[in-house]
Amino acid sequence: MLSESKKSGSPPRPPPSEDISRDDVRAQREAKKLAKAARKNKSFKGKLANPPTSTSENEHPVVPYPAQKSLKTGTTSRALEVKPAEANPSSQSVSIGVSADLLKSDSSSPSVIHSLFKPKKGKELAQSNVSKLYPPFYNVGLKVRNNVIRGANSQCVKLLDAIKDYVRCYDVPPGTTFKHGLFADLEGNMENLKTVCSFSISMSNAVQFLLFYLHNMPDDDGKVIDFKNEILDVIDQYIVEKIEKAVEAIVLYGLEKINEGDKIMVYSITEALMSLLVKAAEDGISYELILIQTRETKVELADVLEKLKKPTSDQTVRVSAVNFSSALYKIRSCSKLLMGGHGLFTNGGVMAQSGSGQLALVADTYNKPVVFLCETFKFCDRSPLDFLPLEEYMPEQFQTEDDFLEPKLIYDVTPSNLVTVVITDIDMLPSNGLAATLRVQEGSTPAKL
Amino acid sequence: MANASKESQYIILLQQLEISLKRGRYVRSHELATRTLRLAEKYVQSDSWKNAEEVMQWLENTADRLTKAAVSESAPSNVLKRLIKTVQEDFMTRKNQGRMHTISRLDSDTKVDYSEELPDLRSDILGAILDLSSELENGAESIAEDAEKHINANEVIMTIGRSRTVEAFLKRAAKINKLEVIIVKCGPFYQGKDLAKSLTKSKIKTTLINDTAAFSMMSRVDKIVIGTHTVLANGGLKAIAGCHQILLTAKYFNVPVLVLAASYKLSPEYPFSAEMKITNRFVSPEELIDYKDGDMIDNVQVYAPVFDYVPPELVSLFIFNMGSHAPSYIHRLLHDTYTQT
Repeated sequence: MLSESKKSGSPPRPPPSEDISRDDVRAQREAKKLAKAARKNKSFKGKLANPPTSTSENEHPVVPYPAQKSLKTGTTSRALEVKPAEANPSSQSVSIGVSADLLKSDSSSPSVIHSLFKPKKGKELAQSNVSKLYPPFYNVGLKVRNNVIRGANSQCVKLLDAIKDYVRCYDVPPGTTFKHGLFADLEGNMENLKTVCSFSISMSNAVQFLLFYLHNMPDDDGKVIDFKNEILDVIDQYIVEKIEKAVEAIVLYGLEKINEGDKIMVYSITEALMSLLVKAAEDGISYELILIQTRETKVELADVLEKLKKPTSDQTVRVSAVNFSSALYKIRSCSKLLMGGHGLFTNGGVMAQSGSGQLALVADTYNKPVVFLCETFKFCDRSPLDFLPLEEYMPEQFQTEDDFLEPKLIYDVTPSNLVTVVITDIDMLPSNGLAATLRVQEGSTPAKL
Repeated sequence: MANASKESQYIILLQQLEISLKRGRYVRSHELATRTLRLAEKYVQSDSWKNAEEVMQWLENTADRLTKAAVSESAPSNVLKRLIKTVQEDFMTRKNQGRMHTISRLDSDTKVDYSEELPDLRSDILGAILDLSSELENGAESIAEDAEKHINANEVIMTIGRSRTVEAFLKRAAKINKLEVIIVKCGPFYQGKDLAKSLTKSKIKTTLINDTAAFSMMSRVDKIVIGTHTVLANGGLKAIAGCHQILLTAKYFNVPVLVLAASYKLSPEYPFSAEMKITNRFVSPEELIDYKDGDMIDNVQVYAPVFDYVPPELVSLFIFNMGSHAPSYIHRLLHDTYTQT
């Protein structure tokens, strides 16, 4: 037992003669030290897998006190047993040290937080599949991945345009009907595209809608060109109804909420939110805008200022920008907090840019209304309680060489009790009323994602 | 000759300190506190004063002067005001030596005449300054001694920004128990990376997140341990920007908050008015807006405050180098550290 510890590089043992003449207590202490060193140098598994067969090489024939730590998980006894060294190696002698040693610094056990961000099995980037991807899809995928196309709505529209292109050029493979062939190929392409860039909720929903529609198309033979035209029309209708008109409807509802002289704090800027701010300025409402900035949203600030150039220059809209960390500095003087949503869930949670949950809490504490703007096509049939189920929408987390993790969390979920109202294209709703409203409106349960 | 040079020594130190404060050439309040203490030491060693009253007057004037140089920094004036109390106490002990009733309350009705000249007062005060100086040096270590009491095995600790005191605390705790640390980077400086590297070297599993992600991660956190810039007289904090929000989230998720502060951070100043304004510092917002966007932001006001006010309700426990206390006890600590003016 002791030679086993010695193998692992623990401090050298004194010659046996000195050993025998030592005090009880001193030998105990020595044994404790060895046990500690043995624990530090070997992992749990290593120890278990490495049976003490080395007792045959035991150079210390008579050592009265054991040093082997108990390897059986669960044994927590602290008693000291006296056993001669040549006793059978498989004896589970009891540890001298405290059983809490099991929890002491053991670098092999995983970190709780790091394991949250580990990539799940089966989600590795399959490089070979990219070659099977239709080039315009790959184009869109790269642009989305590198943030060239920003904003959920524009990403969705660009993807649908690429799909229209695909449908136009689609040739039915022999042996299947148009509908089945297109369904399978389109689905395959989308799966491959997901390995290039992470889909936002808007993109996923649009693809889901299209696949559902394809699935329900009549099976009979018809002219391929008719089918294609039908699909192209459907896609166009989707874009106009669900995206463009929805934004206009939200702006109409939202204008009721922006009054003259309001001080509005703004975060998580989406197309709907931007259109609302621009329209309000165009209508001549004079308000004050407080933009919450983080390092990641530098580009969006430039966008906002670009669109609001005229109103800011003639002081219809007064803009100030504050760091996210100092949002509290300004919240008291604001009248409301306005944020754009990226997704809505059945439990009333709203997915928006990371930090919205924090701001919603801050606004709630100071009794300011928290208003989200979200189109209904971003409704997602899930109920995440925090950001972890949203991992599929976020880019891969890479660990730096320095061995500490720096995850990039892009989205987070605001719980429904912190949200005052969600402005959608169908109405202004409380966040948890959305599921019921949608069900009534569409008359069917939405497809599960 | 020797007297003149000693006098000029402390005057020079005072001027240098004032200039550093005015120009913002300092990094940590610990450095300010040590420099102020050295300055006070030089003054006491010189012959520029004859009695306790003159010392106290000088200390008060210098404290005012240094506060005017940098309004947001309280460490220099805290140290000097603490010395005022020490001088008073030393004076009373010296005076009452030999008398049976040695407990003389400093807030008693009888007016004490500090202009009495006492011969050994100088060495007394110098001794007190020495004590204070060693307290300053060992502040982080003595606070870290409490680490085992508060941090248990396998806990996930969150900390905000970079604090030397918290670093020592966590390293000490890591020697006893396995723990994990989440570091939150807050603007405007975003100083988390150095702390992460340092902790990883001590075999602590570290995660570095932005302050936007604090809300998402809070449900997994067992405790929050933070340092602060100043502890205000009402038990509130003047901490780095972002702390208030994160501690609000902690309250929402019921996560206990420990604040580590050395004694020179305790300040007798209250936050002003009902709006709880504090003396703040504003720095360049270059992290937020690129210089190349300069012409677009002609009409935009950009703010980058450095500090945040945190109300005392959000703090569970203070750990000073002289012990742990609840925020409601701060008034007593103030009474013991500073005189009533």
